[in-house]
Amino acid sequence: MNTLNKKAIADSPAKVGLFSKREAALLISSGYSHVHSSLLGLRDSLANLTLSALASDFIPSYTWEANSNQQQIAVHSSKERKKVIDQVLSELKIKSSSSMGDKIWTSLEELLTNSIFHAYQDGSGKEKYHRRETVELLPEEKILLGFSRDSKGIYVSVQDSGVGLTFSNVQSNFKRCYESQGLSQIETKDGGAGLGLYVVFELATHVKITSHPKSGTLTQCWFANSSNFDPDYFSFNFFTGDKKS
Amino acid sequence: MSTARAINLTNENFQFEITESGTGNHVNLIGIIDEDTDFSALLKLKTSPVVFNFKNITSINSCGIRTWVNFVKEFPEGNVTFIECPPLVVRQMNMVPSFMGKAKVESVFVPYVCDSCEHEQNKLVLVSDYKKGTSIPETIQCEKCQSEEMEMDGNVKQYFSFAK
Repeated sequence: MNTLNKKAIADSPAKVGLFSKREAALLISSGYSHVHSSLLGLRDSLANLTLSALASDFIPSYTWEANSNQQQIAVHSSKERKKVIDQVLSELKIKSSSSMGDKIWTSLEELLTNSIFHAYQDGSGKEKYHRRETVELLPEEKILLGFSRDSKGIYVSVQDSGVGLTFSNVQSNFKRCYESQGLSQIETKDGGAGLGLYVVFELATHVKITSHPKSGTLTQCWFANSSNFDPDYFSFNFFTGDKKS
Repeated sequence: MSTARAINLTNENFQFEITESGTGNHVNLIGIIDEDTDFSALLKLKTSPVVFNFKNITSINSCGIRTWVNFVKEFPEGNVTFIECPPLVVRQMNMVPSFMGKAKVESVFVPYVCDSCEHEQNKLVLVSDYKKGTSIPETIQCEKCQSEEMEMDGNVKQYFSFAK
């Protein structure tokens, strides 16, 4: 079981309330690694699960991520990512032209791209793969894409075995995307545009990132069906097993 | 008289079609905009009025956003118009305002979902009508099951926040 650093939790407690996505993002960029928005506030079961998990020092499993029918596909190269995402949509029986299809396609494209091109480093600590290259991942670098569907929505996950993500990475990313004006909102360096997490956070209902330094990142997302969609109800949680979160 | 031509760009996922007329150029963008999309062949159009039609854009990733932003910023104010923007393009305009450059956004598709049969359809709306205060219908009739309960997928004010 992953343990959490209690001092880090005390320094950045969960924020529970009723927020817009932008307000939530500003809370995240100011240091809250757990933000839950719902009309229920502290009576929201997901918020309570987070609060009790933080108090008990473990990483919780949310109701929206529990699905015994989850399927997984391994991704081994950058070239196959579009084909794999199309396959996921087909397995989920979603048209890519639909609103849900667009959300899932875009989110998986961003998460897979982040994992393929930014999760792995060479011996000198620089990114191992470049965006303009066709990347063939090593067997131990394969990326696992998980997905499932129930009557209320769609679950997807992307897991890599890279260097991991820190919460300060997330904070600075959200700060740039939500607080910058004009062209400075976008990374101009010759790598990614730095908009992937911003896009996923805007599209998904629930986002949970579990990152382990030097052993990888698991990003899990849930997307409510349009009939079940409530713009006030969403969550973001960042967990790390690292003592220095 | 107009002439049309289709040109394949540097990858299999994207192409454009230019229709020239006496008053400027109409560019129909087709496919996926991503890190492999190269707009440089369209830069020569920046000196005369150009209309970009986004109806057939099926996906844009974050590197595609950057590629487009760096391209469209070269077009001077008054020379560029966006039409028939599907929800995925409206999303980019709301999230990354520089996606619009100095363009005038003339029309967008507003998404609706049927509560009864989950059918989705888009309704084309003139942005000038929204700005004039013409109300965007919250419900329309479903063309598939004829139900009157086809609701807008999202919030009108948030959807049109690019038009501030």
